[in-house]
Amino acid sequence: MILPYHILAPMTRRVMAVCAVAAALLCMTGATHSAERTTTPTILIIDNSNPDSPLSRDLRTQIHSTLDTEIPAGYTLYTEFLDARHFNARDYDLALQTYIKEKYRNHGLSAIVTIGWAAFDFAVRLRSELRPDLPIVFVTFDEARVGQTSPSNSTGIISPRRFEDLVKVARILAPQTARVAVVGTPIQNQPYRRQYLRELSELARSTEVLDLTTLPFSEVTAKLAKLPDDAVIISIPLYEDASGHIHQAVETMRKLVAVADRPIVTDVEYLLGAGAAGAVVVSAANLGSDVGKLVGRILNGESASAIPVEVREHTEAVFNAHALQTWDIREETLPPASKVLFRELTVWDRYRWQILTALAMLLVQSVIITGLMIERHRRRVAERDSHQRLLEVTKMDRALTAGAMSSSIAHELNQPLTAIMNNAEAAAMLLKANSLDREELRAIVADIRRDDERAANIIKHLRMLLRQSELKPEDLALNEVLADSIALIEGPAHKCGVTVQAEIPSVPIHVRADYVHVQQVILNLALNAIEAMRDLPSGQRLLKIRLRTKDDSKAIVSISDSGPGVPSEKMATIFNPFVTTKAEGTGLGLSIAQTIIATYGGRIWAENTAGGGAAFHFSLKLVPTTDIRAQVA
Amino acid sequence: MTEIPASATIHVVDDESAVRTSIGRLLRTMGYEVSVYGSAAEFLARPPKPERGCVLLDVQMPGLSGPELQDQLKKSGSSLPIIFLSGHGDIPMSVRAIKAGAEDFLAKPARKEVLEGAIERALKRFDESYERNVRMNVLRQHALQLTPREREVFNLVVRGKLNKQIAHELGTAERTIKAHRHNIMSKFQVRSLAELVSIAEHLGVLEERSEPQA
Repeated sequence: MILPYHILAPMTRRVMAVCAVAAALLCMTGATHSAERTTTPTILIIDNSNPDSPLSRDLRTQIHSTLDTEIPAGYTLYTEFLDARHFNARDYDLALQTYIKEKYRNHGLSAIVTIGWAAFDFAVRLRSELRPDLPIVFVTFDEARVGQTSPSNSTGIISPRRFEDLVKVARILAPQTARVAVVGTPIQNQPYRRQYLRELSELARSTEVLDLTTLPFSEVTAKLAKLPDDAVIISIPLYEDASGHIHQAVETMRKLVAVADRPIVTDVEYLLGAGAAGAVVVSAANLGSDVGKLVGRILNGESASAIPVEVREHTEAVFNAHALQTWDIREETLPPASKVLFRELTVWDRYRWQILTALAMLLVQSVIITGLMIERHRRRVAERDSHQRLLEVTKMDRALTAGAMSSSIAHELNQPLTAIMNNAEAAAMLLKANSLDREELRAIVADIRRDDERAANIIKHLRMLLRQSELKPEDLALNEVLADSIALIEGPAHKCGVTVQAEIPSVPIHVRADYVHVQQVILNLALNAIEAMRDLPSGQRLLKIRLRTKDDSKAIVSISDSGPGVPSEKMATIFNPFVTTKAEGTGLGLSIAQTIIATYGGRIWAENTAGGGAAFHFSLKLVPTTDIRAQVA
Repeated sequence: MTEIPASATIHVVDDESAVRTSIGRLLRTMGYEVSVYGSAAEFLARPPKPERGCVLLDVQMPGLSGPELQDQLKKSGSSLPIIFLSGHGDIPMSVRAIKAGAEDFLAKPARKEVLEGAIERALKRFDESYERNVRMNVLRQHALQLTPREREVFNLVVRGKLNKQIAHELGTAERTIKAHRHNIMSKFQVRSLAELVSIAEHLGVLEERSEPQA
C-alpha cells in the first residue's frame, strides 16, 4: 500500500516517539531492578568450532527459533566459540575459561548448551567455578561416550555422524566400489568428525582405504587422476590441507570434481552445490529443534539429571540431480526417502499454473465438445427415428390417399365399363339384324378392347399406389410418373368438375427416386389443389401440372390451382406437420411430401400465383442422360 | 326403324369420349337419331332444334355439370326431357335432379332395356307436352282474336256469372252481353259453357282475379 507523504510522515513521527519513550522506560527498569533480571533466562552456547562453521551456524539458528516458541516469555542467548581446531593449547584453554567466567559472572546464566565434546568438557570445568548446579545440554556427533554416565545436571543428544553412512551412499552411487579414497582437511583437525578416524581404521580391515587427507592438495589431485576404477571418493570439506595451506572448501570441491572421473560423496550439503554427487548430512533443523526443546524443558523446571541422554540420528542422504545425470544414475535406484537437490526445473515445475490452466481449458473444451458430439449423435438418432416414423406415416398416408381416391377411381373405372357395356349391347343388336355390318362390329370390338385396357390400367395404377414392397430409388422418367399420376387424378378431377391441364415435355426427364414416393407427392399436391377449388364456380376449376428442367441440373414439377391460394399467415408453416388449410385435413400430407422430396435431396416450396391460386413446386436433381445411356449399355 | 312411329333425336352430353361414342352407337343401332356433345358448353353453343327428342346427360363433367346444364335449360324454356346418367348412384343428387324436372336418373352402365325404357318414357312425355303445346297455341291464337270487351265478358262468363249480372257489372244491356257471348263461343269454336270453362282453365284465366292475360 502506498500512502501519500503527508499522511505517512506524521504517523511515522508518532510511532518513533512512542518507541523512544518505551526504550527509555526499559533502560530505567533494567538499571534499577537487578533482581528482575534473573527471571529472564540467559543461555550460553559454547561451540567447539568457529563462527564460520556452517553446520554449527545452522544449528544455532534452529535452537534460537525453537527457544522462541519454548520460552515465550523471552530469554537471552550468548554464544562463545572455542575454535578448538585451530587453538587447543592448554594456556589458551585456561585463559578462555577465565575470560568467559569473568564475562558471565554477573549475568546469572540459566543453562549452557555445548556443541561438541570438547565444548562440553570446557563447560563442565567452567560451571565448577561459576555455579556447579548450572544445567548443561550437550550436542555431539561422536558416539565415543555413548553409555557413559554424564555429569550431574547435564543431559544431551548424541546425533551420530558416521563415516559408514558415507560409504553406503558411495555404494549406492557406484555399486562396484572396492576402495575408498578420503580427501579433505585432516580428520584429526576436524572437531565434529574425529569419530571418523575410529571408523576408518575399522573400515580398513574390509576395504582398501586411501587416506589422502594427509597429503597437500596439489598431490591429492594428481593421485585422484590415477585412481583405479573401483575406487570411490569421499571428500570432507577441505579448509586447510596437511601442509597447512588454507583452502576454500567449495573451490577445492570444484577442483576435485574436475579431476575425479567418478561421483564424489561428501558430508555437508553445501558441497553438493559444488558438484558432489551425494552426501550424508546432519539435518541442523531437526537436531536444533530437538536441542531447543530440551533446553526449554530444563528452563521450564525439569532437572537435567532426570532426562536421559538420547542417541538419535539426524542425518539424511542427499543427492545432486546434476551429478546423478552426469553419472547416469537413475533416481529410482536411490533409497526411498532420499532427497534430491538441484533438480532441473522441468517444464511442469516452471509452468505448472499455465499448464494446469491450459489443461483445464482443454478439459472443459473436451467436455463441451464431447457434450456437443453426444448431443449431435442424439439429434442424429432422433432425426433418423423421426425420418423412419415419417416414412411409416408416408406409407399410411398412401393408403389413405388411395382410400380417399377410391370412389373417384371407381367412377373412373366405371367409364370404360360403361363404354364396354354400350358397345356390347350395340353389337348384340347388330348381330340380330338381317345383314351384318362388319365394319361397325369391327369398330365396336376395337373399342371394347381399348376400354378394357384402360380399365386394366387404372387397376394397375391403383395397385402401384398401394404397393407395400420395399421402396427403392431408381432412375425414373418423371414424364411417365406424371402421366400415370394424371391418369389417377382424372377420376377425382372429373368428379369435382376440375379441368386438368398438363404440360409435360416429350423428352424424358430422369431423376433418381422411388416411383411410388414421387407419385404420392404428385397425388398429394394434385388432390390438395382439387380440394382447394371446391367452392369455385364450375368452369373456373383448373388444375395445371407442369414439368420442366432448370439449369440442366434440376427437374421442377409444378402443380397449381385456380383456388383462393394459401392464406399468407400459413404460408411459412404450411409444410409443418398438423398445419392444414382444409377442414378435414390431417395436416400431414405436405409434411410427408416434404420428407419424401428431402429424402431424395430435393426441395419443395409453395407460392401464391399472380392470377390467384396456389402453386406448389418440387425440384429433384436430374440424372444426366449420359449416365442413363451408360446404364443401358 | 319402321317400328318407331316418329323419328327422335337423342342428345348425348358426356365428357368421356368412349362413353359418348359407345352410347351414340347403341342408340343409333336402336334406331334413334343421335347427336353428341363433349360438354355442357358445347350443348349450349349449338342448341338442338325443337324437334322430338330427349337429352342423355352425364352428371359429373368439368366445367358446367349436368345439374347446372339442367338449370340453364329450364331457364331458357326448353321442353326437352332430361335423363341423367351417373357414374355412381348418388341418391341426394338424383332426388335433386328429379325434383328439378329430370325424366329419369340412371346409373352407368345402364342396360339397353333400361335405357330404352327411359328414353321411350321421355319421348312420350315430349309427345304429350308437344300436343299440349299445340293445343295451347291454338287456344292462344283464338284468345288473341277476342276484342277487349269480349275478353272482359269471357272472364266473367267462365266464372259462372249470369248475363244479367255481367251486364250490370259492365253497365250495359243484357242483349249486348248475349251477342258478345255468342261471338266468344264461335271464336273459340265451342258450343257449350263447359267447353269454354275448360279452355279458360288451360289458358290459366281462372287463377287470375283481375284482368285476364291474353
